[in-house]
Amino acid sequence: MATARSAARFAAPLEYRKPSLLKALYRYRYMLMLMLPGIVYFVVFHYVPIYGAVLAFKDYDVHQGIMFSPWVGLKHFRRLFEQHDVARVFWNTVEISALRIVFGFPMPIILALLLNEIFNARFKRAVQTISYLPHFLSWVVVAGLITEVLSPGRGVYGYLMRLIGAEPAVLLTSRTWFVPILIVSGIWKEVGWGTIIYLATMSSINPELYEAAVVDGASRWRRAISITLPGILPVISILLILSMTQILSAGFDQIFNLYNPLVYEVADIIDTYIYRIGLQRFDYEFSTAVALTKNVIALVLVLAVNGIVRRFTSYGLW
Amino acid sequence: MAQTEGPSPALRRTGLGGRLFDAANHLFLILLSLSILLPFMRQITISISTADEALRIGAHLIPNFAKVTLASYDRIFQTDAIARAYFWTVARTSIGTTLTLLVTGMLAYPLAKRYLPLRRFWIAFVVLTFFFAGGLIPRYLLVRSLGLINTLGALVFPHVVSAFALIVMRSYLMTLPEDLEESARIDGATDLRVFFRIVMPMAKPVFAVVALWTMVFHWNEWFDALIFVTDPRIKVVQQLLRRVLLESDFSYAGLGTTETAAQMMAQERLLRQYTPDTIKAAILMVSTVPILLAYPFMQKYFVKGALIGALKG
Repeated sequence: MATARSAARFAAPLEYRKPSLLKALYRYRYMLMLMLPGIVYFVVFHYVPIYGAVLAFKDYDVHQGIMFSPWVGLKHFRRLFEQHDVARVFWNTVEISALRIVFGFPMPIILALLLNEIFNARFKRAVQTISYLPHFLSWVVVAGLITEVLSPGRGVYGYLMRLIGAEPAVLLTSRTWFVPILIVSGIWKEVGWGTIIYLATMSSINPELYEAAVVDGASRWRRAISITLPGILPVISILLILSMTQILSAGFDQIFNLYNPLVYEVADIIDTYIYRIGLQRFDYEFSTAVALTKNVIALVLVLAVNGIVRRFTSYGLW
Repeated sequence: MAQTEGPSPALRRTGLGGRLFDAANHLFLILLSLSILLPFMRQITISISTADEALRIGAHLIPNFAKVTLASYDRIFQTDAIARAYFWTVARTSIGTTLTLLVTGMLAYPLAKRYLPLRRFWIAFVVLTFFFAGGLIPRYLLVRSLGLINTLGALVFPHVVSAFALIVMRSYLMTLPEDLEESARIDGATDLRVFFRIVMPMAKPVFAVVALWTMVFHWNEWFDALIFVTDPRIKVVQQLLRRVLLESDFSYAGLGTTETAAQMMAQERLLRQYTPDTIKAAILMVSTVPILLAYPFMQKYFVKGALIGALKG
């Protein structure tokens, strides 16, 4: 190898020679200076906490800090299997995520297809503007609106129930209704925003396809199914695959602002559990062990998904 | 944008079934829009209603103009809690956004250059953190050991560079023509000067997009204020809103009223001017109005950012 390269160099004396790394670093020292604050940020606020995850293998001692606290091996991970609520929390997370994908994922696609059939540009734009709006509200605000709407006393829900002569229940403390409320309100908040990428993709479909289809006598329904839908299919499949990587994050902000002890059994997810164990019960080590388990599984999912995407398309996720 | 222009007349031609579909489609989209608008109309109405009007069971979509009062707004501004919360939210938003633009831009520019030494290493170094995090407790202990608890730093520093902002900025900077930069370098300008004097002005559009996103993020962020700030004097707007929601009767258990709400009710009976509901509605409005007002004008920047982020992400 080395001789081959020197032979090549001998044959082509004018060949560009790669400058040594040190020289390159010196030459671009100002570029590196520009990067410095960002790199420091990533070291301090990302790599230090990643190192801090070793807390899961230690017994935390306030005075010694994470680094000098004594190692205890897998003690806290054993509790993952001993504590009966851990399995429930993992199951809740996967279940809520799966429901979000089954019911929530198709919604922006359907809405985008419906918007695509609107020919009045002003009406279309108005609907788009309004439907994007909830995306920009925090879950604190949206949770406030939801509790207001669902209030059995004053809310629209209570009003409607009494109108049909039924007794309104407290839905947010109901184990039956809490998860459906999560799914529906999640759709309500993000469905409009989710159409953006589909609508942009639809606008890049070659209009000649539609014109040719009209000549062939294709109905609007036929065109939507045979031209528009296939046109956005690549985007749909990529987004669907990407959503798999989020399966262990079932929407902390939403659940944390809506849930209550009465629905922990169905609504407690990994992230809310990590919070309560860590910052309410101050069981730092166990909370970190749960978080580390979650993050490692999530990383494996991302790598697997990236492998799949790379295999079937020309580009990976990064 | 092409998507807002209708298709050609030939494509619009439609039969009876098509017209029925159009009617149903319009109706559905109107209902969807109403589901978003009506809760806000109701909150606005309730926030300016008198106590007895607000207690009346009904839709409360349009104010009863005989029973309109600003008593709730009066009441919430009687203390400086809201003004103080606003101050901290505006402070974290402005400082946080400035920091994000500077640090992200300064990092994105070298990463956009093919000739950057160790480029692949730096990119891997950053990208790894998008996919793996240390977890809540290590993050909390870090902020605590840096002495940032109960400071603005806790709300600003941990969020300086986001994956989204970095990806959007880098992909934009990669599309900029390099001849201006090159001629400046030939004239002896350093990379620092090139970045601040030439690249940053040229990249104004992407800085605007990232700035808006960052501002909305800081405006809405509540969790870090919950865990890093225990001093009630340094509560941000979202935190105050949470507290109001939690103190109202249906907040957690949905059963009975808390003491504070009960006290408020007692006061209200004397004054007949506001109730916990009108107070809550007023605070909800006060904390949401900036976004509601600014959002329609900034929508296109957000859409632009969402598309770049989605395509490159």
